[in-house]
Amino acid sequence: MSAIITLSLLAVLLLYLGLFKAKKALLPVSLLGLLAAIVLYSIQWDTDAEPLYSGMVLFDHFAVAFSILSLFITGLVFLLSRDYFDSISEHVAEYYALIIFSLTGALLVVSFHNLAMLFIGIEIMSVALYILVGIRKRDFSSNEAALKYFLMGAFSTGFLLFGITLIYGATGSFDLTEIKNYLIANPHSISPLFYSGILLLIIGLSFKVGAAPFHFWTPDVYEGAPILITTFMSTVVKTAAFAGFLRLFLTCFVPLQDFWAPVLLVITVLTLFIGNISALAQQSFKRMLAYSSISHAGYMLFGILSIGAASAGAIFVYSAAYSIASVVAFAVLILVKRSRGSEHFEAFNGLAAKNPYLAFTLSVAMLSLAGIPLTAGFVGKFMMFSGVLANYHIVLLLLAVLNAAMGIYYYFRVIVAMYFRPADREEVTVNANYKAVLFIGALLTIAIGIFPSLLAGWL
Amino acid sequence: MTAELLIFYVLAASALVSALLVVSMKNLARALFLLFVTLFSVAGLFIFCLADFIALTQIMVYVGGVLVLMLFAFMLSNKELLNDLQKGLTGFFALPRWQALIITAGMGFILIHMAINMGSNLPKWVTEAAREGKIFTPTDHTEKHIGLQLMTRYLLPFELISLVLLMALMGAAHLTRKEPKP
Repeated sequence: MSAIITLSLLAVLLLYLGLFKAKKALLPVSLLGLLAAIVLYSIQWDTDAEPLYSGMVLFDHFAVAFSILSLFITGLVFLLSRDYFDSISEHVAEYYALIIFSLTGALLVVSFHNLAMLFIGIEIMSVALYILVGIRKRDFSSNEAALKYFLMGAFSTGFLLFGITLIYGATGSFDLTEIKNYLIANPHSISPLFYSGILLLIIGLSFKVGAAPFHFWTPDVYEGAPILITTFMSTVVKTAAFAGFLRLFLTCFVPLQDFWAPVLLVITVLTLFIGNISALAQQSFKRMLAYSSISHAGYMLFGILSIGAASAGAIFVYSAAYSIASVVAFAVLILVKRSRGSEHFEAFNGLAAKNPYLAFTLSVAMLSLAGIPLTAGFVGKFMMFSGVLANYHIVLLLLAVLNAAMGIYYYFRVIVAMYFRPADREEVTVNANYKAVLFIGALLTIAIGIFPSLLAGWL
Repeated sequence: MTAELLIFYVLAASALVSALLVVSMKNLARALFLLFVTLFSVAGLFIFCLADFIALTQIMVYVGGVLVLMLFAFMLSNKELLNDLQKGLTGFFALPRWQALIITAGMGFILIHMAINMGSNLPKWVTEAAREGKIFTPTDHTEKHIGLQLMTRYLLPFELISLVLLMALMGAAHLTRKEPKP
């Protein structure tokens, strides 16, 4: 809890720094604050977790692991933000503060123990993003993305809230333990309110994680938002939303698996196919990443579908691998866009000849996203698929493998463009922060790929 | 039919009809004024649920605040822009309406299915509370309980809401600030 208080105060402090025009101090202060929060969380690791504040939050291993992951990824995003926001506006402090606020919401979503906290966490996370998506006020696509995201977000919040209300109507409590006890106490006389509540919660949460058929806002919003904000959204926010999704279902709804698993199965298969097939057709790298993030949502849904003791670990490793690789991919995209002014695949032509370092790290990220062995993405996919194989039939696994093959095709397009398509281009300048982030990202991707126990042992 | 039941049905019908008109009307000003009717009827329904605090909040915040703001926004905005809005999509087969239809039908199906299945079986905790006499009567004051709950059990969410408010302020400041032209 002290970490969440620290982060809230950090954001207010950043606003004051902005007020006193201390622009140089913003980045170091934010990074120090994130570091402090990580330390505060790590201290909690071995203590016995009890629900705090009348059962509102619970900092168990699940919550702490996902929180540290979110804080770490946000740190990487902040490192990339040097010189980035300055080109957009003079009021940089607010953007830092909003990202920190959004992160606070994400931390609440991964550690909630009461449906009221889930709702408030999701709201804090999304309200900050509504503003951040639209920070380029003069850019038409940024405005469109902000409005779309806001309307869709408000709409899906309605579903979520209705679902929570119905669950409350059936059980008389928002508390996860009470809801679980209700299911255990009345296995045969569960109120119909409860079933409808689960359905509406699935719809609301699918909107938030961007799963088909509720994905239609994702590509436009990811494309219209500034790249750095897209990075934050597709990594930290997605991870947190999935962790919240899993926490709710893992704690409460496991006894009713026969009811919700078929619904989720349809959503998963749709998400995989829609995400991958649309990604095949894209010409813009950024839009391809947006669709691929939909398909990754599909893979992560496997973890919820084959729910059990192993699913928390599987989703943790998968989201870590996916987030790290995405940060690297978006970082390279920022640099390429800055030098070439384009987000298309052609902009990457011949990158390997002039910037071998950039090309190599991006290749590692792409291999990881595609799930090639010796990268973190493979470990994530392996853990996910073995869970599916243990609980479900082989047809589903075949579908997933088919989709992974499609993924390889479009991820390799950019590698082919970088290494085998010659083009006249000048060298892209890379500042030290970007070099550091790319190095950390590539190193972690390979390290987790070779030694999966680095992460898999956490949960 | 008792008088209460009659009032309930009148309120429910006016809420439904006015809400339907709000979303189907092309003229924005009329739609806004119909929203008054919707919000007032819903406030009346809240009173029927013995949630008088919520009913008053609804009137004060939505009718008194939000709707008046919307009217101001409407009056201050560009007339040409609004004319464009009024054209909109025509014809029943326009795609957005299909999506809306599917979502509405799905939602309606879930709710009606639930209502039929539920019949008169109230959830167990409700019947138990009724048996023990732990229920509100129309003369009780609910706001005292709401205040106590907010300051004890729900203190953490109550405090965290302030983050949402702070961010909303920052967003408003960001939207209205004059940026130097590039």
